[in-house]
Amino acid sequence: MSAVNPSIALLDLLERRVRRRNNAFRRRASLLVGAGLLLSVIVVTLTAPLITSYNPDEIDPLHPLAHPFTAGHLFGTDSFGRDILSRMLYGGRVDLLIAFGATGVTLDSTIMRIVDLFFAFPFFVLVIAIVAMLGPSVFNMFIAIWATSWISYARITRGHTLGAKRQEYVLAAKALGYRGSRVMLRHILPNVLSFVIIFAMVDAVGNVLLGAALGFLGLGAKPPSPEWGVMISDGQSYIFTAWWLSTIPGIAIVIVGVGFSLLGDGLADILRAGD
Amino acid sequence: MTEPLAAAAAAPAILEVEDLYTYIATGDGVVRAVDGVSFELREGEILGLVGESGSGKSVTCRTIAGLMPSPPARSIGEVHYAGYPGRNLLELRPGEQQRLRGAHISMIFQDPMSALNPVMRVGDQIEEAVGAHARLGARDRHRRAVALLDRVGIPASARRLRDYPHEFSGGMRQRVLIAAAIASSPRILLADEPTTALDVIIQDQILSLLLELQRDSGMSMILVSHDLGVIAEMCDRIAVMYGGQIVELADARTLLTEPRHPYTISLLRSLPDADRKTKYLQSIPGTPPRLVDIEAGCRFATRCPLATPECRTWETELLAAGGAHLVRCRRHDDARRTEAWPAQSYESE
Repeated sequence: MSAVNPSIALLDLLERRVRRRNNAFRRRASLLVGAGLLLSVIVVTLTAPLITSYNPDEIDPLHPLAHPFTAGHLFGTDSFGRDILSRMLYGGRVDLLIAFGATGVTLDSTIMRIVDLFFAFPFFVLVIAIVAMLGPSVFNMFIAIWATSWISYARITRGHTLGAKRQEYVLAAKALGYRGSRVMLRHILPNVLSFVIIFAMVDAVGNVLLGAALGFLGLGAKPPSPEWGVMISDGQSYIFTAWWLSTIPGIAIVIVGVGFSLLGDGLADILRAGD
Repeated sequence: MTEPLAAAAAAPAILEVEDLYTYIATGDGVVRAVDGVSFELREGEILGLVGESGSGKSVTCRTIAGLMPSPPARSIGEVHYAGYPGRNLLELRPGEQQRLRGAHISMIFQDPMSALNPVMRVGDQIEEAVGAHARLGARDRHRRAVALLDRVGIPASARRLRDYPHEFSGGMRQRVLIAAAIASSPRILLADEPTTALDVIIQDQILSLLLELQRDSGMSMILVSHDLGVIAEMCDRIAVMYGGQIVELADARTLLTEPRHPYTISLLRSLPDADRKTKYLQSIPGTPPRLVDIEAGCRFATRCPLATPECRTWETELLAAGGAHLVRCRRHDDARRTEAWPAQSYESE
């Protein structure tokens, strides 16, 4: 009799590989890492008063531009002697609000698109007018970002909905006599929603960057109130002498960005059919 | 073929289509996709609609099912269904039309790859079809879905209900779609090129399945295909469509053995024949008409070897050619005589 049939060994090997690939953790790694990154940023910014005792706007003329890890200031101080850690934590609230604010609108606009699918969008002109009228402030920045991102969500949803409507499975659903609302909600919406959610994640990164960019340009948060973009902007004049002023908020933006990207990736994996 | 034929001949009509016109507004102009089509579908018969792409067969079916998007498409004419006596299906309210579809008239489509929702489990889709026109509890729906998958020949049906469409092969997906289409026991099934996207072996299995289901349930069926071979195998009666019109209509045997319209004759000649050795496949010269700017006269005249100047002005109509055989050709008597055909058009190889 021969030894073990070689095909059994092969089968065994491949089955192990399949199991490994199907391992729930592995498959959701990017989702978990992304969610973990974002969650820790959120927790840290929300519990800011517990972590730091400094007021982010408090000026300390005696200790300007203190290096990171100097006594009392983990991330050092800026040119006015304000504690960078506390400015980071409080400023992060603003940036996260910008990021998540846009995400919250997603579902709303999706449903609205479903309701009045065939409406066109002459909103661009309106939005530009609104943005032009608003002065630089955190609140106005929210409004501007929300208003503009709503349009891109609407467009994405509309585009994918029009695409999905042309799919034969929608025609087939109609041919089986399903109610219009059922065709919309069960056959078109789920096929559109995944695109919107994934886009929302990418868009959240974009919004953080946009918020930071607006701050950097002086159109976002007004100078005394902390915001990462503003901090980078303020720090650029000291980039050669006090690198940490710009670098630390820059790293924070990268962390949030990576977090959202991984989260979006993970969600895309899960929403893909057959997961 | 003979037996169901005899039975069908006596059967009353379940669907009557009269002077159906469906025009579609496009960027190039108005496409006259269906241009005056009349026929009847009898109880328990399979009627074949055959023709080239763009001859109006699919649009005819979709119009009957109320699935043509309006705008851009508009239809006029009469479609009468025995289950809704005295009503013109084209004039049903959207809600009535929706209750009619699936429950009375169901449809399956050409591409099984795209006709299932990719993000829904197959079982959910079947159960949805089961519950679309009946109030059933979740357990009954599930039981019925398993029975349906068994019925259409999907092995391990209970387990496969949990799979997603991409885990099925093309033939299996078409079986799933058939299961969904017959879930509410419709009396009419419109099969729009149900096997065109499948390879030949699978095609045969699906056709046998459709035939079996039709025999068992006694439903009527309109089978749309561009493939005369498929149509010949399946149908009791055949309507040949060309340029949005029916050009010949007869029972299957008559149409296949004594065709009278030059288009039908050419189509049959273009089929490869296992018994006859031919070097080249016969083809019909020219292209089918664009249905935008239609000239007067016979629409096939520009490609017809028998066409005379009168054909180009003749206001076409379906002429009786013995019994229930209808032909839209003023020279149909000549067309069946080989001598009437120009020599080179007949032996062009």
